[in-house]
Amino acid sequence: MNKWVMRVLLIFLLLLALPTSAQEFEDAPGPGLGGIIIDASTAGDPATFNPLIGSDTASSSVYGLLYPAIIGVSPYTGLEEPNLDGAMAAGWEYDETGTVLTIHLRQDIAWNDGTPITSADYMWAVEATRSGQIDSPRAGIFQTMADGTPAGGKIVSIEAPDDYTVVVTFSEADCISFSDVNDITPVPAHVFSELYGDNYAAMMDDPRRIPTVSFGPFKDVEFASGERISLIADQAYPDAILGYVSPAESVTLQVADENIATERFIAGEFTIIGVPSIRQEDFRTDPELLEFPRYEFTGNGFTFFGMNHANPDNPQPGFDEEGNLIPQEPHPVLGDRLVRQAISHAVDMDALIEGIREGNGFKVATHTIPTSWVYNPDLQYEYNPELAMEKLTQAGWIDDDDDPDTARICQDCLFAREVDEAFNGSELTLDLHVPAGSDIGEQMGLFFQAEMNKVGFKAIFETIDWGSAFLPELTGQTFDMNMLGWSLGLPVDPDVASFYYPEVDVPGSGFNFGSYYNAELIELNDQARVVPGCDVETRAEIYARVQEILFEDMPYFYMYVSESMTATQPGLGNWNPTPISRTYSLDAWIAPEVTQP
Amino acid sequence: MQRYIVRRLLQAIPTFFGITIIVYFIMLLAPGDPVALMTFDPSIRQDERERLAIKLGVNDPFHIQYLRWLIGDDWMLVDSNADGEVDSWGDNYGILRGDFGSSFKFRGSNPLELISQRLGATIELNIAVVLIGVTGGLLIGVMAAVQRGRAFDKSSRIFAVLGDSVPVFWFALLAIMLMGLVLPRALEPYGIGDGSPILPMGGRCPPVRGGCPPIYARLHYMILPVLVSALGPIAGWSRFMRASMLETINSDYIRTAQAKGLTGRGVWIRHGLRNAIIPLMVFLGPLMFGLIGGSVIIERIFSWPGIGLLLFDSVVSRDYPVVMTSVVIGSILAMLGYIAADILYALSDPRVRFSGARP
Amino acid sequence: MTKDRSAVRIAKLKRRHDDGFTPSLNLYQKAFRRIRSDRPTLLAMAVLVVFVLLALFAPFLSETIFQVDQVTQAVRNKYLPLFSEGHVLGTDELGRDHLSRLLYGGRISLGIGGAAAVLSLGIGIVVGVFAGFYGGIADDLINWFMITLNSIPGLYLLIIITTLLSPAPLTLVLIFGMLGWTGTTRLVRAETYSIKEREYIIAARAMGASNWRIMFIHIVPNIFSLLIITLSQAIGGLILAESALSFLGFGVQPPTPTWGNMLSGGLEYARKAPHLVYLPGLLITTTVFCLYLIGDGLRDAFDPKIAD
Repeated sequence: MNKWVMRVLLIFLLLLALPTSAQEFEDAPGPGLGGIIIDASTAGDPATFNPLIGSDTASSSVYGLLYPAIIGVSPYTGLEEPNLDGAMAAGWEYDETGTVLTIHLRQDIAWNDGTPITSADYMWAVEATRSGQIDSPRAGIFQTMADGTPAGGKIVSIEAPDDYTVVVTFSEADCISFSDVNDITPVPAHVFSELYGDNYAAMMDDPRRIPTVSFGPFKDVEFASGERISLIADQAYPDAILGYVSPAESVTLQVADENIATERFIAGEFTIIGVPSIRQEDFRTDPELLEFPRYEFTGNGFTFFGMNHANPDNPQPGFDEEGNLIPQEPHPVLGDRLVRQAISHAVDMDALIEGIREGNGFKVATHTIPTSWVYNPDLQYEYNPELAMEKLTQAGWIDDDDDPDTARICQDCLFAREVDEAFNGSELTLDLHVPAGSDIGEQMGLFFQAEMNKVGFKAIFETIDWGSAFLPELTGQTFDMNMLGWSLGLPVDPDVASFYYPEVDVPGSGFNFGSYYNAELIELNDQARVVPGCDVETRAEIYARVQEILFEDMPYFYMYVSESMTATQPGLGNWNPTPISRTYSLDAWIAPEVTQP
Repeated sequence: MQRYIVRRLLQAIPTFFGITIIVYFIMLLAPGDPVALMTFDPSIRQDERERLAIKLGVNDPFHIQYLRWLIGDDWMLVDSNADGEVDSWGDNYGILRGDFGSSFKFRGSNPLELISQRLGATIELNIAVVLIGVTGGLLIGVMAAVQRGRAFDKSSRIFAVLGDSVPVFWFALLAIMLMGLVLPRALEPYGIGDGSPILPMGGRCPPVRGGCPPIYARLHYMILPVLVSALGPIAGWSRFMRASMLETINSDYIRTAQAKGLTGRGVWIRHGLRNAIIPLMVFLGPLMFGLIGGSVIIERIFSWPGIGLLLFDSVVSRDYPVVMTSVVIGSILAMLGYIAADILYALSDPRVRFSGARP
Repeated sequence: MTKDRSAVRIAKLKRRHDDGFTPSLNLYQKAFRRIRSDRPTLLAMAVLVVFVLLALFAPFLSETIFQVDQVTQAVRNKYLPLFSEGHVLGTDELGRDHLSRLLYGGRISLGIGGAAAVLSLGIGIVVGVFAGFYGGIADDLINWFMITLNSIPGLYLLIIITTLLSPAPLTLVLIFGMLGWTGTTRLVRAETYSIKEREYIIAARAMGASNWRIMFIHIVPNIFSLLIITLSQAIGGLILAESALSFLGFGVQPPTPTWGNMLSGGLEYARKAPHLVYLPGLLITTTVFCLYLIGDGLRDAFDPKIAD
């Protein structure tokens, strides 16, 4: 095992160990006496309160408080752990083949109507999801649907031999499907089966039914469209941190404009707010705003410029109908790895983060976030315009008039060599597109354009509408360089199949929209998936090489992971934010009064 | 009179069809793919996308989609299980029978229901704006006419034009900041207030459980949005009223009244006011109409949960069923506003003759 | 609201025409004389002329006189306040010169307002004269289309269309033009109706004048004064509409500056750099104020009965 992997792992494990031991909570005035929490949301109305059909964050932030998870994810480590508050699993083990997972459930928890929470509650949710009757993005975890149609996942079956045991069978031992089990949220089977029977589709007609029976620190949703969602404390919740739920009520107010939301928070109308990135610097420096306690953390989303490796005039899927690889024509400019690397040397990312993002951003050069166990801090793009120009020349893009401000010309560049000689003499030009509507995005686009043009590109920058222009050209694979961001689900697994495999190179929808293909990468990633026992060290070793390939090949220009900031009113008691969750200790909070005229 | 009302309502029918056609043609331009938008998530697989696309009917030719939307598809065979072959009768009734389909974003939700949850807020706001705008405008207009040529008249002209010239979103933000942050913080050192907002900076109801309290208990939530949106109407109506008042004052019967010995400005008010107001009724319709459109901005700034905000959110997320329903409903509201104003005008002005009415 | 207010004036003016009041040089001479003594209107005209000149000579002013341009960024020099060295009006969030962006932004905002107003007026005149002159089914159809278009709240339509076609300035001009012509058409159509049976038109026809000649030589000049008033109101309204669209995120997309997107973009930086908000805000307000004042003044000048 590499030394650095060991070091990184060690540091990371140490970091993880720290907060768990340091959590102490002060006593609150008493059950339901901890004030009212008022939160602001710009996410809009939740689509549903039903965890089986919901997929938007506005919905999950509500039903997340009302239903247990099958296996808990620790707010400190972001990893699955047994016996966590609000979760059913007391422990689990794999059999010797690594394909059969047995989960043992806690026997001490009940819904707030007194009915014990059992494996039947999970099984009802499983059957509903697998039935194919509901539009659920989670059906993809199964190998087949209930009617036998393939669904593409690894889970062969889920069974419940008794009330407190769940057995999951996977089609093969792999290291990434474990968390799929958690995609399905248990619901009170006695309520849901009475409501819907086995007509699961009926749930779709009733998306905003108010849950009557729940398990969580809060209950009794009150919903006013476009206005407010309110939940009141549920003292029947056995897993509360203090033994009781401290706040009386949790209210989420909808605010349409995030800038106005911030001002309303400053005026004291909300207890807590996620500070929009453009306003974070204000909270750090403006003396008027320093009174607000804030928590900053490196998030789980990274921003990048996607690069099209294939000819945008002739988008091809990764495989033909027989499943054979289709060779991709290279992109006239970006098809050449040297050109992609040249771009990485041309752009001063430090200036971008300092200047445009007000220091808000953690530079990355692969698709792993800094809190991931495969993160390698040594992989950094080198800012070196001279080297950029050198590499361009080497790639056959010549500065014919010795004026760096004009575009370079193709002289035996890759496209001319491999596709069409007539391409010789063409200018080194490409489109830089950024979705419209974000000032920061626009500024970064302009910055990229300026930096690239300094080394001899003729980059044409434009902001375009997300839905009608950006997305169609991105998924249609007719773009050159498009900027977007991924927000990775936690816990983050370093698997790259959903981004860089030819299976997902499908013009119109696939997520390998840049048609990136590297046989070695695929082989390594496949290997890492089936490491016996999912040994973290062995996997880390393989992914270290995966990271290096991604760094050299540059399927994307990885830019930064954004810093997030949460601010609260002064005096919010028992607020213990972690990078995984800013609100996990919600049931212990002691909220200061907010001002509502 | 009844006949007039019936005729006026009948005239709305071709307009209604026109609206549906225009809405449909605009949607025809839409280059965005709603399925791609709904499923922009690497964990969703390709065949799920295709199933969704067929279910939503987005792959049909547009005239079929239009017909399915307008009159439903329970008379035609559709591909219900997404296997590429038509197999069963459709189950949509079309908007003419009250079936507006289901929202893309809020899966399964009936757009009509989504809109009905928001309608009250928009109507409430607009009625308040009409009331404040018209009475404020009338008062200023009458005073300006009475004081013609003096300082009040001149400054009201400047006010009226200025009120129309400020970008409304900017003015609204200034008002929010002033009432929420600047003023309370400036007054606090003098012992006035505790530094908390003088007026709520947004929202329609206090965030308390048990639903929105009756309107008189939350008037303070209305003050800022109503005043900001009434600025334009006050400005406009003060100018209408001034002009109409001056015209009436110059008319013969006022002169007659004056000749009969009635003097002073009292006569203008007593005799002139009613006659000056009547012609302005014509503008009530356009006023209500304009507010429905303009409320998108006010509702967004004040987080006022009306249909304008719903339309905005739906446009951004390409929720076509909700967008189309909002436009259709908004247009029907506007048409009704026009018709109501016409009828009001007809009722208030004895000079209006209804063709086909009793001789 | 503006539309309605001008509709009152127009309705009144129209009545005067209908009363057999035929325009003559005299009307324009009188109006001109009245405007000359209307100081607010004169002032508004002067300010507007200055703005138009600034916009027209934006490249010259910014590049030659002030030696700045609107594109160059200097991230270390951002949020400079007014009267900074080298940047008279400070810099924006990217360190671009604010003065230069305001000049170019004005060029585009005024350009969009002016061009779209002229376009919609043009469409309005042609369609209106056509409908009024020929009448019959064509007129009914046009009327039906106008009523329909007017029944859909304007901002709804604007939002939807601009979302679908991310607008460049030119697209926005077309969209505004296509949506804004009905008011003019209604006016022109009614006017054409009433004029076409007048003696001098019948006389012109008898002398063999073609339909087109009658329409555009005899009818359009008759309502010229109305059109000028409509024009100044429309430009003001369109500048406001552009800024409202920008606030909602559907206006002209950056980096192309307009006063509207500079104002709405600046709101986020209000704490750090207030000048990014109040300068474009004041420029929009002043310009629209002047345009409306001019419209008001012209109306009074052409219709002295209700003037002061």
